[in-house]
Amino acid sequence: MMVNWVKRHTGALLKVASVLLIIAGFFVVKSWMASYDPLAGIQQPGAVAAQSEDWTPPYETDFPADDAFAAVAENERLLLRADPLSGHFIVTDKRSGKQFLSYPNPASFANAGVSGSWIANLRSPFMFETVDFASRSIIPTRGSFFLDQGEVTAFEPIDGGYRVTYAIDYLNFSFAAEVRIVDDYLETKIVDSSIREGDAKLVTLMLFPFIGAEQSEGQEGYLFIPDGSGATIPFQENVESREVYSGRVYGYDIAYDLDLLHYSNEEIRFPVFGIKSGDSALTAILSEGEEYANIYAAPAGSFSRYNWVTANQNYRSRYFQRTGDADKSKGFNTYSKERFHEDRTVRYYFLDSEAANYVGMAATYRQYLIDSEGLGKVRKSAQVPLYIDILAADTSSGLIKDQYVAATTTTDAIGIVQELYGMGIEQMKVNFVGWQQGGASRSGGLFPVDSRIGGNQGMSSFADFARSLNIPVTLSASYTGNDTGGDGFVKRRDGLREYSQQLLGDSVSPKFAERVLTNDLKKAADLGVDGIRLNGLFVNYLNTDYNVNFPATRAEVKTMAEQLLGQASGKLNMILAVNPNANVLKYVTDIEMLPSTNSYYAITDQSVPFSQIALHGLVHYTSDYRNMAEQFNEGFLRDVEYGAYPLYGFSWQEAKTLKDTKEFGQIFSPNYQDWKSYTVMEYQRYNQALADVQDQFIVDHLALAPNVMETVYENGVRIIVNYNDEAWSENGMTVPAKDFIVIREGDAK
Amino acid sequence: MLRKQGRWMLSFIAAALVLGSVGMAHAEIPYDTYSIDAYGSMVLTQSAYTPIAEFGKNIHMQISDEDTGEGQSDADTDSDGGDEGDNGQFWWLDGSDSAASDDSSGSAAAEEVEAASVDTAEEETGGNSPFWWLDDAADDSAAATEAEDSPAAGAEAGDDGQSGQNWWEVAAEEGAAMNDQTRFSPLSGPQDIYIDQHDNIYVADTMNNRIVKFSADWQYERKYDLLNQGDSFVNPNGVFVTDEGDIYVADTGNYRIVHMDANGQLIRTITRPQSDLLPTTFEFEPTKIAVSSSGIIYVATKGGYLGLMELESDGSLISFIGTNKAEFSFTDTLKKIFYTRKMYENELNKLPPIVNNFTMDDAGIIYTVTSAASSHQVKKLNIRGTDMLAKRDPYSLLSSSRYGENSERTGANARVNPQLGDIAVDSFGNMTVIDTSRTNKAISQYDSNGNLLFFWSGRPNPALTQLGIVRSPVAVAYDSSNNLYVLDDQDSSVQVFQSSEFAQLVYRTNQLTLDGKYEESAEGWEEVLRLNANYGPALLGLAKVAYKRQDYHKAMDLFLRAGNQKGYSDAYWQIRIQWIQQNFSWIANVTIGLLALWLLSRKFVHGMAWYRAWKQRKRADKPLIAHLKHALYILIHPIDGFKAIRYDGKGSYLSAAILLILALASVLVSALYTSFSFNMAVGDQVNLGVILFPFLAVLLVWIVSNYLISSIYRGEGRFRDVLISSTYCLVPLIVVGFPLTLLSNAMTLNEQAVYNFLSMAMYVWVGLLLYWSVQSVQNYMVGETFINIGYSAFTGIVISVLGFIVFGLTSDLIEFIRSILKEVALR
Repeated sequence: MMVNWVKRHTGALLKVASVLLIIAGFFVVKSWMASYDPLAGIQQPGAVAAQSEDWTPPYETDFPADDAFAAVAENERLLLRADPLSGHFIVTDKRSGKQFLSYPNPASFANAGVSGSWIANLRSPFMFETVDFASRSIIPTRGSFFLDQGEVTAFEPIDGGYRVTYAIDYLNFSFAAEVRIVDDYLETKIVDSSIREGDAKLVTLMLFPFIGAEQSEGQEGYLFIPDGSGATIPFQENVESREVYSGRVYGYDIAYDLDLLHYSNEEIRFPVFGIKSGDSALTAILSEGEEYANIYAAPAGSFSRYNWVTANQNYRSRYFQRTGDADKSKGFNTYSKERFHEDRTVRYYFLDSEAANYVGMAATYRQYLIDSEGLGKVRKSAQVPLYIDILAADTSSGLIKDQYVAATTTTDAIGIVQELYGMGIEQMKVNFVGWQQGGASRSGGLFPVDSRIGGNQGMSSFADFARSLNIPVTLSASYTGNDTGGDGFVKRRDGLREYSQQLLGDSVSPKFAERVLTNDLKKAADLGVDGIRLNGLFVNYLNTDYNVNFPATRAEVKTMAEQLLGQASGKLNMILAVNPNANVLKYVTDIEMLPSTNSYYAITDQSVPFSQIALHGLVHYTSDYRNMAEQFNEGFLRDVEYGAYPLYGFSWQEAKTLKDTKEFGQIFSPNYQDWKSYTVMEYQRYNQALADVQDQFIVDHLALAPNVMETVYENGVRIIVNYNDEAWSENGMTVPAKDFIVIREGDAK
Repeated sequence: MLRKQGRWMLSFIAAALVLGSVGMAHAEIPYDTYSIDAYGSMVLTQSAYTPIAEFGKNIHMQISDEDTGEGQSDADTDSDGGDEGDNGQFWWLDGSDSAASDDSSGSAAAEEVEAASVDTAEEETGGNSPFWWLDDAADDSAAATEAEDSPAAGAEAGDDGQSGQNWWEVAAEEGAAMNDQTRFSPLSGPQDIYIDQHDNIYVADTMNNRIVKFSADWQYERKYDLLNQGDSFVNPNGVFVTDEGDIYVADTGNYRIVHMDANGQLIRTITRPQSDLLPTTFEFEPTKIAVSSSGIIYVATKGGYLGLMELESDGSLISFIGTNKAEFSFTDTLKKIFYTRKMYENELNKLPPIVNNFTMDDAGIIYTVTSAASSHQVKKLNIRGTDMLAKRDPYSLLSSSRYGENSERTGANARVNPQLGDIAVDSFGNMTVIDTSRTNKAISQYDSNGNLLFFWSGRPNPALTQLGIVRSPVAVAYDSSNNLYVLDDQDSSVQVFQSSEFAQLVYRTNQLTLDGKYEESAEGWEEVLRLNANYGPALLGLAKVAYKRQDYHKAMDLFLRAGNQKGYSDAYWQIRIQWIQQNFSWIANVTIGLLALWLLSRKFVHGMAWYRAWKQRKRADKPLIAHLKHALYILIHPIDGFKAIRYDGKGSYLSAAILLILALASVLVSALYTSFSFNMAVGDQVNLGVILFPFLAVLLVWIVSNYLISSIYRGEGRFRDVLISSTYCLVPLIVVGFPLTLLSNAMTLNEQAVYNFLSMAMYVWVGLLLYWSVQSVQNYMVGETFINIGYSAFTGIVISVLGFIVFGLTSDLIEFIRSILKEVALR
């Protein structure tokens, strides 16, 4: 009877059994995960240190003695001496006689406030992190040359310097670094082809992280990081617990950094960093493989009492392996298996006395842009440019489906431009936002211009009209996403995917977008507009793509971006870019929304206008929309101080009709009518301040008093801005409260 | 700005795309500031405050200072580390602590173990953040803690037993000569901040058992800990300084109030007062304190559901003020009905919500904040203890007395009651409150009448502290120049905010409106609107100006944009009366004319041939027309009418469908076109699905469940009859709904009673028809009908619940299995 019952219910029993098995399996996996030893399988450097007795450190004392360094190269500006046992170097700036060491200032080493592993780390020419995929725990292990008993296995001279090969035996890890002096800079390179790895896979590598590292005592100094417009982390004495800054050059890679998008901070657009101590400074420019680097700044009080900043080269990236489809928080962290390639080159420039500050660093970077990237001076015109974003159309959610809201037709736009021109604004640059099919919040399938704001025809006639006034017209375009399926986009086939093959929303594979952009360039040219405004992909978004149909590494996307923009600048006169990465700067004619603050990190001081000093005179830039300014009057003064031109977002329709639209509804006050008289008034003031210095480099920037800032241009024009509520006067100059004055060379003081 | 949105939304990609399409990179200040219009939608505004500084983290005090405390100081600093570890934010410090306490952690291996295990802990506790550099920090701070174990540092410190200290303390001692004999002792778990009239800042440094004083320029000045007098604080939670400089401390852990002079000399202590008003179980654990100019002492106590204690200057109890009412929810009412007496008494430990914190302004007005209440979380008590915010001004933006905003207006988080932790009042009387509960620790600011001006919050970045983003706000205060100070007990720091030019303009102008100087306020509000076209308080302010200027059309438009029904209705009332006054004569003439015509027509027209011919015209015999007409018949003769549907085939699917569509149309028209005076949703986005789906779902479930019940409960109706008759019940929605919507546009809130009556009557009518339809179609007696309806309703609920469960469980199960498979495959 029992047997019969079993027979009859075999199917059901099997089902129950399999469900039980699955559940049991789940718990087994779970307990297995909970109990595993994260360190099993990872060889501990410390443990090795205790065992191996044949290894002797190259130095009994902390650092190589001065006589250990032999001259390896010399030119008019620099003298390079190196120590073959550690690969450390000393470079002498022959003009000033100052020496820059590849290790921390040894004089104060006794006060470093460290012991144990950090004594070894601080002395090391490099630090690194590895993970071992064989062990199930994916936690990187930090090591360094001295901590892990590294050896120099080869040291050979090369043109202008030397090549040193480092090896860490027990990890089977080795790589070669090249150090050379070229003109006025020293260049270090991690040669990619020379990297050998064992089971422990390389995650990050810092080469000469402590170059120029100093303690805070007895000197003014700061670490410079390219956060937003630029930020300095001041040297502080007696500070004990400080945070460490680290940021990915050229911004997040959303294939890895998804979670970081939740936070509000500026990203790195310029691959530079610097350190100033006393009257000397050095600045570093990452010239190769920078898309895989993080800029890493550790002020005194974080790991040691040394202030140091370096390029942390990524060779693998941590990412979050999602396992849940609906619940996006389920999953675990791991590292990409493939190593990132590319040589990693960093140039160090040495500054002293007058130039030893962020202005000097920015000037160095500006010279780099001119020499190596081929940027040239802008042409000066009688008036400063006024940038106008015409807010053409957007959608709001409606009764059944989204409603199209036309905010400004091309005819309305003619009205706006005509009126402003009539009121004396002759240097306008007009850009259309939301001209595409479906309005601003739609992406993909941009062309033709939506007929409800005038269509292709309307846009052409607007362009003709603008041309008659000598006003360039651009169209806003972004190829980051595609939510319409336009351009033949099929998400499953053409969408951007992260490492575990998850689609990233409506993001588009860069290689798919490449095709679309190429087509669109022609369409734009046919319309008769002067250029396009680009934002997102290729300009300030570099994403690795793991879509098997269009695989692309970050480096490939970077190159693609440069080619595409090069192509675009061949076809069109004007490439307007929103806060672009430095690698495409050479193709960009104008920049919108260059950040004028930093991320407000507590470890940093007030923001400094590094990017503005580097760019003024080379390319025109604006700050945020004037009608989105956090502080309207202060924003104006900031623009004057930073040499930024005004940008407005204007709609013809009243703000209340745009209130519920997805994009334009977020603008504080978009209606042109509310602004025109202010715009004209303000434009006169911009002209008064900046008209004469459009093509001039900024040569100095300093605080004359608290909240009184002076910007000096190469033609001698000085602009003094007073943010205080009281007038400020000195030497017969008076700057009224919340105002500015312009002093030209030869003006009576 | 569009990137900012991304901070809130998990749909990060939306942000990424938006950034792509328009590309407004508005991120000057790392948090968003909003206002709310009366429709409840958030309006992005300029920041009210700019973050300018942070202090409290790097306090170095003289060691000689410390030594006065008979070795107590060592214990102090030890607890520093421990507390920081406890608060969980700085888990890497946690790691460093455990490494530090481990005396045998001499080898690098041990160090790595520590660091690594911290890492795993992070990974397992859902640390899905790819902050690999945090690992560095863990790793390296663990490494750093190793410092004290090194022979060199140990020898110089001269004490091997100090391994419990942080490395920097060792370092500090090691370099004692150089560092001017200071020791590092940051704030730890501070709970209160007070700023005196000279802008000196006092912080109740709770975990360190001391009060710390900072100068007006945020420099550490001194500490008060009573140690030199052989006494000490235990977890002091509150501090207050009188104009004379006397310091009152709510010495929570010692169950007392401490009164010191400005030099820290103990004057007296106040312990639990003896009073009949106090329950015997009452524990006197003061947490916050304030002293009025006349010497009355106000005390908030732990678990203080009785309200604030008001003490005579000698410490005797006068009374309790600001006591909250216990809140009874709907479930409480249900429990009262269904539970046995004993069960209910067990449940009914319903105490009033606790008065959490309070502040006192210069005029002696007391502002309290309450946590876990659903409304009236903020009270403004005058000398007599009456709440001046009890009744809301009908011309304000929000109709409810709810305080403590949330940047998540939808979703589960939006409905959680705020836990208001502290309140501060600036020189305009604006009140700033902090919410300590939610994930987005929002700071909200209201004007002196309780109208929302701004609220803001930002998502703290775990790796790097950003000025302006407070991880865990516990206390707020203003200095004399209206700078806002926010105390953070996780970061153990104070952040300072300076009011922005936009906010200053709003404050100045709003003050004029509050004073009733509408004319003077016009210019200011116009400027505000130019800067932010949808800023609610400005719209409302200008609406009041327009009303005052008797520009009622403009007032109506502005009240509509601001979302104020009362103002809108008032303006419309004015317009209507003007219209009637202007048009009275012809209206009267036309009315009289029509009346006369009608009277005449009765006399003459009835006799005319065409009229009789029309009367006797051949009636349409199309069944559909007859079926539709039957709907009207049912209105008047429901019982016969429904019987006819069942037995005489007086209805058809087609007629039912037509009626259903008409009813739906009526509902829709009512949602879209009812006057704003009665329907807030007008100004908001109306979505077809949101209106119609619930309506249809309920109807369908009702039809199915009623048919099922009837078929097993002696019913005679077929499914067809149930369906058709149920639809016919909706006819009142059509015959009353359409005219009512039309009529509402001629009504003001003064006629609200009429409107409510008509709309109520409509639904009652539908309900009655439903009853009669069941009775007639199923051929029931009265009692049977009720039972049937009851069963049907119950069945309907069961069907819906089951539907939800099945749907929910299936998708959960699928998700569960998929995630297991994936994890196994990918690990």
